[in-house]
Amino acid sequence: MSKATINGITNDFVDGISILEAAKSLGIEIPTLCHIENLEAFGSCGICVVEIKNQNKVVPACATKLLEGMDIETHNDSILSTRKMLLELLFSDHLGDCVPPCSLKGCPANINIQGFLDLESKGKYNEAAALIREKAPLPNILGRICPKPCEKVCLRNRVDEPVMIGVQKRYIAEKEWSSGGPFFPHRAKSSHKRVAIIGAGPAGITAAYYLSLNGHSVVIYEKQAKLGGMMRFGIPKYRLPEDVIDTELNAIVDKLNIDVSYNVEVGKDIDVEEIISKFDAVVFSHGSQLSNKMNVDGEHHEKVIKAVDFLYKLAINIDVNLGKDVVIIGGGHTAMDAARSAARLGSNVTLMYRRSEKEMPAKDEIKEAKDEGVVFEFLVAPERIKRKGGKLYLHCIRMILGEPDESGRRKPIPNSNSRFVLEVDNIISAVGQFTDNSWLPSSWLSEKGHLQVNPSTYQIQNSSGHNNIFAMGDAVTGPDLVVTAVAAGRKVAASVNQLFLGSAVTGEEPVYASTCGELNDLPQEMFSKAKKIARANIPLIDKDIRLTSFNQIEESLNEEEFREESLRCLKCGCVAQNDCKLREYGYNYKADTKKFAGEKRKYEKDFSHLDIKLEIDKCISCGSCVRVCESIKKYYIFGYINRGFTSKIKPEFNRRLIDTKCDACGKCCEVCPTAGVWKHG
Amino acid sequence: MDNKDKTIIRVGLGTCGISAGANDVYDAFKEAIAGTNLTLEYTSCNGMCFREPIVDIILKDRIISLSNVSCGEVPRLINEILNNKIIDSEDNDFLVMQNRIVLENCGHINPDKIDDYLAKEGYQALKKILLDILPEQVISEVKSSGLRGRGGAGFPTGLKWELARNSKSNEKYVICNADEGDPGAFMDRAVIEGDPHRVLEGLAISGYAIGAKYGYVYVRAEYPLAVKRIKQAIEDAQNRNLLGNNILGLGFNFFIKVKEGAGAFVCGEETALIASIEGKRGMPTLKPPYPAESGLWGYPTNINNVETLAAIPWIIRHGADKYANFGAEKSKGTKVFSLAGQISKGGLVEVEIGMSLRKIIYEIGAGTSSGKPVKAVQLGGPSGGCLPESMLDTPVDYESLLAKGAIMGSGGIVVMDVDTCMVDIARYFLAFTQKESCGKCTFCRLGTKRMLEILERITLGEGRESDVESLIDLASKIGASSLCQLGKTAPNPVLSTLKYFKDEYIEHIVNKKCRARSCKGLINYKITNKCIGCHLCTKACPAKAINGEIKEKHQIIPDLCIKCGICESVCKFEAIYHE
Ligand SMILES: Cc1cc2nc3c(=O)[nH]c(=O)nc-3n(C[C@H](O)[C@H](O)[C@H](O)COP(=O)(O)O)c2cc1C
Ligand code: SF4
Ligand code: SF4
Ligand code: FES
Repeated sequence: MSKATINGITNDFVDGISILEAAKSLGIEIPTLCHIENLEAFGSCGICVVEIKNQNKVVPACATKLLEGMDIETHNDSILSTRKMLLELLFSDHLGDCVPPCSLKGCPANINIQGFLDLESKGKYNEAAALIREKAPLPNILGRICPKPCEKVCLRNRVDEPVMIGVQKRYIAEKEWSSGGPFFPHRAKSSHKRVAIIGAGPAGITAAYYLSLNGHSVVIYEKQAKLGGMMRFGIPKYRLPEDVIDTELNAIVDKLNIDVSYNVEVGKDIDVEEIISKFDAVVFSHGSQLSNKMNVDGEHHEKVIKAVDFLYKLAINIDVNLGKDVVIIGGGHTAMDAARSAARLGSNVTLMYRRSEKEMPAKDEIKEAKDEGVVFEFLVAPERIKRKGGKLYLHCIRMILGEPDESGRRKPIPNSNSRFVLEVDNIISAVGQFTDNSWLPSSWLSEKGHLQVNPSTYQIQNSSGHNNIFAMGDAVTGPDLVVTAVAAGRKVAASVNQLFLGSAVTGEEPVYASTCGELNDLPQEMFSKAKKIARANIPLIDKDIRLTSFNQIEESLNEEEFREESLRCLKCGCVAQNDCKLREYGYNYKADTKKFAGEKRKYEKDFSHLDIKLEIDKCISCGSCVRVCESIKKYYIFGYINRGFTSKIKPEFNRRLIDTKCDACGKCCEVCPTAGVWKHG
Repeated sequence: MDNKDKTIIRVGLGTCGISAGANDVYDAFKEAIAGTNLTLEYTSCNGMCFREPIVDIILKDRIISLSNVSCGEVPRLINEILNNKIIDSEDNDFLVMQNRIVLENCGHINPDKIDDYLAKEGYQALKKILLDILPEQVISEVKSSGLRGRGGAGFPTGLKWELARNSKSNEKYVICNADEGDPGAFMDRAVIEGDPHRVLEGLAISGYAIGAKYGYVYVRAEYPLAVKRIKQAIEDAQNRNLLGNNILGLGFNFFIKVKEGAGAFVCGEETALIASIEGKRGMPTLKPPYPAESGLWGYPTNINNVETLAAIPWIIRHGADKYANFGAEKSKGTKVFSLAGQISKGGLVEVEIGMSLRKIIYEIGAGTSSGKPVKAVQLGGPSGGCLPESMLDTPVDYESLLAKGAIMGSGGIVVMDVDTCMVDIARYFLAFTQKESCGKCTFCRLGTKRMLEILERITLGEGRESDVESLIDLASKIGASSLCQLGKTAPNPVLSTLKYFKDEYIEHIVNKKCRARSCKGLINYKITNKCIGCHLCTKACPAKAINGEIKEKHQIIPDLCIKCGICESVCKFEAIYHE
């Protein structure tokens, strides 16, 4: 027996054991990457370093025998920072996307896109819908109205065209519904905690969904008579039919026992203080419905209407009488919705935007809008509105683009000798919205009247000692995408859940992942093997019907067509994403995967073998595969090549795996800490 | 030399001499002496590389040494020899200050003739111990000589032998490490090429001392002449029963094999070297276990450097005390240094340990080759450190150097004058170690790469404020946590230059200035109003980076300029300068 001290605990240890084993016997876990049980220690990775205080030395725990009198520290600050740097170095030479970019960088809600497409391609619609609901409970709605930021970063952009992602969620949900869905997971047993949510828009409903699943009882206060917020009252029906909203949202509140108090306006019908006192937590998600002013003379005329009001009236089926010539001012999705709705009411519509087409937030719909007869005037701004007879005279000025502003977009500058006047019947202004926070305690608000929340936990700051008051969605951010509100709803639910469980409120952990780089910086070799397959097109309904009704304009594809489309997915996520020690430790040690930007190993795969796949670009050169193959099988298939930074572990003599005598026993795959080598299937 | 009356012409045929043309000189003499009574002989390098090819004329009463001999001179020289008119061109300062123990025969004997070695008391030490000294006594003799390993770490040789002797095993090995991978170091090559039997004798003595029957000489494959001579020497020694079974009838069996190195720097590291002899990739393993416990094929093994072993016969013959007379308090004896860089007289010098750097550089090496002041000295090769001019009075011994942030290492001394950029020097050495990292452990493989990238960007003028801090952070972690000494010491050139020349780093990073004007990324060429538009530079510029109408002032396009400086040198009107 040898007496030694580990992390202050002095103990007698069996002679001849390693520091790693000794620590383990005390329940102290030291991370390892190259350590293989029952094989001689190798000492290559270095993650297991510990400090022998009384020898002033740093040694690998796996390969160092514990000796009498050692005073060892396994987790002191210097060791932790050494391990962190070591992981950062490994990441700096690790070319891999743990998670596909569509999900990591594209989707604000980080929906597992590769996963649901795969299930869909296998016809497992219910499973696919369930997978989407892990991150976003509104697959059908999102499948219709999301502007699909995921598709912009889809790696297939580098091959041909992005995989069709957005619409598939709608199809999956429809398939699920037709088999009796929507289906939700079981609710956890009651926590006896009560949470109030103010506002039944996408953020509020989403938070309600996850909180209810976690066993908490949820009450939603909604000012309107129906669920949905801006999804119902802002988005026109030709994009999102009412029955879809009803089915998807009613199912959530009904099946998950969510209480909704309709037609209750908090701050007016019930006091904020009262709600706070009655519930264990309160979540504010009241949206952002007040329209910005254009700040031009004459905008208060009754024929100058606000897009939000216009769309609201259409949503609740109130007739709006527009004149023959209508100008919409603005470039966002609300402006676009107003323009296309006005076109459906039979007006001649011009959309006027002060920047160029490139800068327009709603540019994804320009083509469809043009088909519907909307005329676009880019780089034009209103200066004043005059009225004469029954007509409005819109005085305009053309703009030129200057230097980029804080938003990164080039700033429009008026061109003073380009003024002109339009004669119109109505003007619809859609130049942004802001949040009505006037009914909230003023201490919660910034000087400008904005709600201040902690960006990770969504707790309202300055809420005088309360840690149980949260806010999110458009109410905090101003108008944004539905999917962004959904993401926020889920994250708030995570915070509230932490609060209710009595643990520290830290918010939902952001996805931790290594990435290969930005779409346009990736090496072409990555795509050289991918076959081009044309992307399917979603047919639109007849133009005549489009111009005379608010019917949903997107038709659908058939099952086979959707299946083929989902098979276009390149499956960019890593096979080891849930079973990778590098990722796990990187996360635990808060390693910055991009700390050391420098030369990286090149894209290199060896998929020659049917069963055993090599991703040399993800290998961290721990040498484990070399050692198991050598010692257990005596096959010597793997070896080191080159020296210095270019050294790699590969099949000896640079052969392809298929040209070796590998018999696919899979031992190497078991010990590989990453996806350097893995077994298919 | 059997015939004492004869005049002998002796050409230095070491690798350094041969690369200076000594083989042709030898052939020219061979042709020219036909019909005369002159004899032609060869030896190896005597360390005066700056004088190669060297030809010694051994007359009855004295030896005349000729430097930088070319083939064309041979007929005249023969004439002068025959007419007794030959004059010495040697300048003796280089040798006077030296104490030659290890190099005592280098440049004096024919390495391919065992009799030459025997005539210099060769194999007397081996014979002496086999006759009447017990292994333990040999070890204690070596211990009291104070000899320390010359391969870099300076571990006391006697103690190392004792550890290997005390390891219980029926089989043991001794290895001579002649991998010599430090760029710029060539003392081991010189010893093997010049006096191979001395190394064999030392190895056999170490075998006797620890109880090993087999020895290996692991020679760098890039040393073909050394490989050839050591193999020849082994064969000759066996033929004289100085190696093999029952040596000299005294009951000791000892066999030596030569193993050619795998061509990687790290193979000089003892555990990697052992792996390499075993036929594996030369990759270090963790110590402990040390080779003395578990080495070649798992048996106790003693590894010594060429120079260490070459000192052994002398110590046995002259006694430990005499050896210990030389040197400093804790570092006894002599050490061979290779003097290189911007030095007038570069070559091998063997001096008492403890001599000051200043003495070595100015009195033996005759100062810088440019005549400009010394700025710094890099000691100990790529894993060593740089000392500034102000520290030239440091005695060269293990402890003093270590205290200043340098190391003795294998004995490389690179002299740099004021035109050297210290950031670039650090980059140069780190680039070497990074390329030679075996790739096994993370910190060495990737950490040195990231440090190198930082240094590269600093020398390109793209340094960032945080770079110095990052370098220190990386260096300290690489130093503490790499697996073997290669990685642990790789940051040394950076750390020592940061210690003594931090200003230069800051200048590069903040002021975008390289005071030595050697970092091209930081140089800008400019054309002044003196330009008359003659077009000479336009034509000379290889990058077509200069434009301008004839007879009008020209301009350099910075983005295209490759900073070669040709324009500046061709301009006849001094209209181009750089800053
Ligand atoms: C990277 C590296 C390279 C080395 N190269 C050599 C070498 O070329 N020759 C040598 O004798 N020792 C070299 N060494 C030192 C050996 O590991 C070992 O310490 C030495 O051979 C022992 O002999 P000594 O005690 O006589 O010095 C090297 C060490 C390292 C870490
Ligand atoms: S492929 Fe081999 S060397 Fe690379 S990480 Fe996996 S087990 Fe380690
Ligand atoms: S320190 Fe460098 S050379 Fe030594 S084992 Fe590690 S990678 Fe190999
Ligand atoms: S060095 Fe110990 S686990 Fe890798």
